Amino acid sequence: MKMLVWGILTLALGSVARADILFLDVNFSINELKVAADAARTRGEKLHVFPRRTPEQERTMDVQWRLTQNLQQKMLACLQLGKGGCEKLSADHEAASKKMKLLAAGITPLGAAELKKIFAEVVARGLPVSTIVISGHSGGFDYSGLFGSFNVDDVKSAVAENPAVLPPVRAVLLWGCYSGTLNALYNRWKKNFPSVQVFAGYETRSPLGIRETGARFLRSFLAAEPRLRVARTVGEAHRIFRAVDLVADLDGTALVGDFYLTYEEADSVANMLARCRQFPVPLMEKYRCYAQGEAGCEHPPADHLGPLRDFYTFLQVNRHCADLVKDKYPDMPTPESLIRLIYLDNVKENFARQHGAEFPAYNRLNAAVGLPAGLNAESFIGSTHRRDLDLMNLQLSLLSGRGLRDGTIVDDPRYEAVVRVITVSQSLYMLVQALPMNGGNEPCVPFSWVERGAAEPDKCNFSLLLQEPWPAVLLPSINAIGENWRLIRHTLRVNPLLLNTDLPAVVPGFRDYSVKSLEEGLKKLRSYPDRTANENELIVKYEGWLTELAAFDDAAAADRWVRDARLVIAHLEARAAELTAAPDMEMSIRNLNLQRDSYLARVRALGRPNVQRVARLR
Amino acid sequence: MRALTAALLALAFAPCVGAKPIIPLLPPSLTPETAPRAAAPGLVKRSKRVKALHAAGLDTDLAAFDELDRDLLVYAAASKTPAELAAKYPALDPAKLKSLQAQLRVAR
Repeated sequence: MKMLVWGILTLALGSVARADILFLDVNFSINELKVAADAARTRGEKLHVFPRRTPEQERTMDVQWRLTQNLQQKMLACLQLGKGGCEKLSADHEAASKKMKLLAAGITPLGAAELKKIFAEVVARGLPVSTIVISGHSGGFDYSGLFGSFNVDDVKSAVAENPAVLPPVRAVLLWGCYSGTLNALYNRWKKNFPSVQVFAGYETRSPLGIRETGARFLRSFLAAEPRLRVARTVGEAHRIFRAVDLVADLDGTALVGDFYLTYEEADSVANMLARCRQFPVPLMEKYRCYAQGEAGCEHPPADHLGPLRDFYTFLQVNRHCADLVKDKYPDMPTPESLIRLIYLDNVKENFARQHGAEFPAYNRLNAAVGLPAGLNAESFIGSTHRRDLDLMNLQLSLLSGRGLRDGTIVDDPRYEAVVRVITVSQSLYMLVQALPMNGGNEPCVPFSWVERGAAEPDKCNFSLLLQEPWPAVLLPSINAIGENWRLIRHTLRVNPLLLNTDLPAVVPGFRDYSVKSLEEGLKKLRSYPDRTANENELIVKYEGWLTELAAFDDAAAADRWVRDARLVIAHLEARAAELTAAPDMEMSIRNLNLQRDSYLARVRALGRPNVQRVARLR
Repeated sequence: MRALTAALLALAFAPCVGAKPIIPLLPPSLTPETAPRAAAPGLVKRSKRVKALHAAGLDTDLAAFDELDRDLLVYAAASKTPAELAAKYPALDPAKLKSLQAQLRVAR
């Protein structure tokens, strides 16, 4: 049957007399561009690159881009030494980055409207585009980077306006993270562009555009693609696909006709979807049972066998389902997470062995905020998962009574200790739950901890958080939390409607708005000729709130926040620079940059002019 | 368990119902070390694992291994010395194990 379907499919694959490659370069993937140019020459085709840039612009950007990378590396090396004096390098790097962005600003960015223009041009010039390459940061359906952003719907709209662009297109290569999941290739691309015979991408994270690996994969795939389209059987197509350079290492995938190809298997989309429809609900329920430590699932089995292990097998063999069933089972674990739960006993043993010496410090912190000895670190050792959950519930409940809900915690002289307990506990919980990640993409419990006697340290920050005094790198966080609570207290008292504002970013605005609204309220209340007792009480309350607001030193708070945020920004940039040296860190770097940009935006919003303006208002 | 952690974090992020998180409690990037991390072996992606085991000629030998067993074998191959690996898996051909280690060393 597979053969028959494949035969019908391949008979339909015609060839065109002339063919060109259209490269939509969203993030200056210069290495990929070069191999695409080579491939076009080899295939006797032309390469059309958008956004359009002159050779001179490309050379200039290439030089600037390499300079920026070089400075980043030097800055990193300087930071590694930890001896300071990296300011000039940091400034040079910042200047180089800015210059790179300025150079990019001279290029028309790719976006929905620009795509329509590009496709219109392709049609008008009669360019027989047979292959489209899209390269950039991606979450699967969207593409972004230095040169703009767009998503699959934008491509669809552009094609709808210029339908003549589509018939010659035989392949669409999606060089971005998660672009090659079955869900992305089939549901988002194939269904929208059914006439395209080959789609390809990455099932997981893609390498950075600056790395050679993505370019190698592209070069090899472009060379294999014509053979892939005329393969006579699924087996032949799979052999061709498996021979593509780095296809296994990079989790490359392809959708050829109605067949989905990964390194380890090739099957029809119908079959693969059917496997997802047979999702083992009982195993998922059993997983939830163990994850929640419910009755009968108090702790994963000591022999590491049973339904959790069966579920692990399903998840590994059917990893294409993850993207398809995530809406229905948002708590579905990844294999990386599940294996740590299966080996929770080993993880906890490693935790106790590596961190046992720090338990007294943790216990002292607990005692400082009046938590019972039953919540000391030792209580988590040798306990069941159920027991750990009970302890966490208890701690949650006790901390809830410390004025966290109404922000009055900041009036408590122990509030900094409470912050520390919460922060350290966060780390402890990640450790005793064997969570693979620390917040975003940072590793927390290392994979090696699934075995007993692991030597590798974790990255959960437990040791760091227990240091006295609190390490400088953490101060921005703890101070920010303090400011947060302080503001929440005022917000609660003054105007609960403001709870959904981004308070640190609008400290001056927050104060202005509150004062204005309170004064308006007062004016209105005072204008009533026959005020009720409640209204009179409200007037007194409003006046009190106004006095309180006047006393709140929001300029100083903003100054403190800006100072702390600058430390955070420097750290985020250093961390992003560090990660460029590690493989598979594109998403992490992107997240770091997003965090940095968010801080930068808020620093700008809280810059000196604003602070001074508020000071004058007072 | 995770829901509980999330609840605790939500409490710390936003002590009031309706408030959105303002500043992460502990930004994940605020880790103390600044040195680039050596790529510590972790759970090897299935494609790469299948390729490496196949190239090492271990497919038949591992018929009784389930997915998790295979992952642990590949992890051990990536993180242990040849002698340690052979000692951990005495039933497997040391030459094939060595070949597996060589496969896993192929740089991305």
